[in-house]
Amino acid sequence: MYRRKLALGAAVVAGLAATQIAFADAPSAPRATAAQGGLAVTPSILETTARRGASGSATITNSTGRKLRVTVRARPWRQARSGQVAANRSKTLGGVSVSATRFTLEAGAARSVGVTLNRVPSRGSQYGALDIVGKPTRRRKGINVTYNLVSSLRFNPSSGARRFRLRAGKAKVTGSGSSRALVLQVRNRGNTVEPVGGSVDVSGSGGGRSGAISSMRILPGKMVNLRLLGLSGLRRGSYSASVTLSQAGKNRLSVTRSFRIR
Amino acid sequence: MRSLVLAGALLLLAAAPAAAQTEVGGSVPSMLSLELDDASGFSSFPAGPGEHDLIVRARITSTANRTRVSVADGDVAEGRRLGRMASNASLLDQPLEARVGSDPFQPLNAEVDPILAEFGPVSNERVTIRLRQRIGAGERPRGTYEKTLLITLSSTAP
Repeated sequence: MYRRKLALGAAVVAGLAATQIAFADAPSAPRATAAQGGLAVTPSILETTARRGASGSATITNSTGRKLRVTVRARPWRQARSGQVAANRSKTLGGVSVSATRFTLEAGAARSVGVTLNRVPSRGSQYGALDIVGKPTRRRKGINVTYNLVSSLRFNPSSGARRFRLRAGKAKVTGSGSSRALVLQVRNRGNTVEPVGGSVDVSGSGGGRSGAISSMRILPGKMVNLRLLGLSGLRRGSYSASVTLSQAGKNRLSVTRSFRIR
Repeated sequence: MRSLVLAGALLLLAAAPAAAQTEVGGSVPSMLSLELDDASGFSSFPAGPGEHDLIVRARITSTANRTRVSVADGDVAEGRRLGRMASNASLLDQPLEARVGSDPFQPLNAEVDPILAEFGPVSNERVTIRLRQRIGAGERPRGTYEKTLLITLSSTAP
């Protein structure tokens, strides 16, 4: 009897221990799944302080089961008025070099690629994209799919050289119905890509509304249409918007703009 | 009785680590990962007008706040061949088109690469890209066609 109960206790303990091992193993499962059949880059944002010779590295992993011909280029961004960016595939990023621009990556292999800032632009920062293309070495008839990963390169100005300057342009009403919104043209005249956010207070003949502005990163020198808030439900008429824009935790600009809802 | 107490004590010992407060955590490196299935097709087209479909399945993992999946011609960046299946010098009249889900098809010969889908941070998100090739009434496809498609996973913020 004593032995049987001891054995039962031991079995329960063993079961609990096994359960704990299973829980401890669980977090590694997505990693294994993510490593099946793809091209990956880590980190997705390579960020360091801008100075001559500043460098970082990105690791490119081929888990496709096929040999890939990989090309890596540093590219400038193009930023649309919506704020979205895309790598400009017809240009390379000035002053930035990549240690290996063309190589073959065997199935299951990984390679680290160095990215160096050789020349710091006069504004004290440089931003761009790391454009990685992985092409299967054997071309087939019909459709051939090619992998393309675009990650961010951020060479930020040193803390003493950071400049936060914003300029506001016109306020405009965009969209219609439930998607009608107020946007403000904002140009980044500083040298960082710190997100621009803030608050807005709208008042006028048809009512009022206030809210926080969803933050957006704006490239130095670029202008975007910053969405201030939705206008659905506000009646036709003349309105005034008091906008405070903030960046890096401080209010940087306050403006008032008038607009009409037609 | 003694054995029951012993078994109970063992149970308590096993349960103790779960009850104790332990800091659990770690850092996850930021990453972008794109998986694509080995889609094949569109090497030839039957004679006569019609629409032909091909599905490319992708799976994406991204730690970025916003990421975008887009598709572009991987052979050329401009000109007559942009977005069109080619058999040597001969081109199909209509460009390839692509879409995700029930969104409208977008031609691959546009100036701006069609954006197919956008995501927040995702892990192993499945994306089905549908390709369409239309063949016109007066068209006679001949030979073996090829096209490289560049499927891009990109951050949307600088």
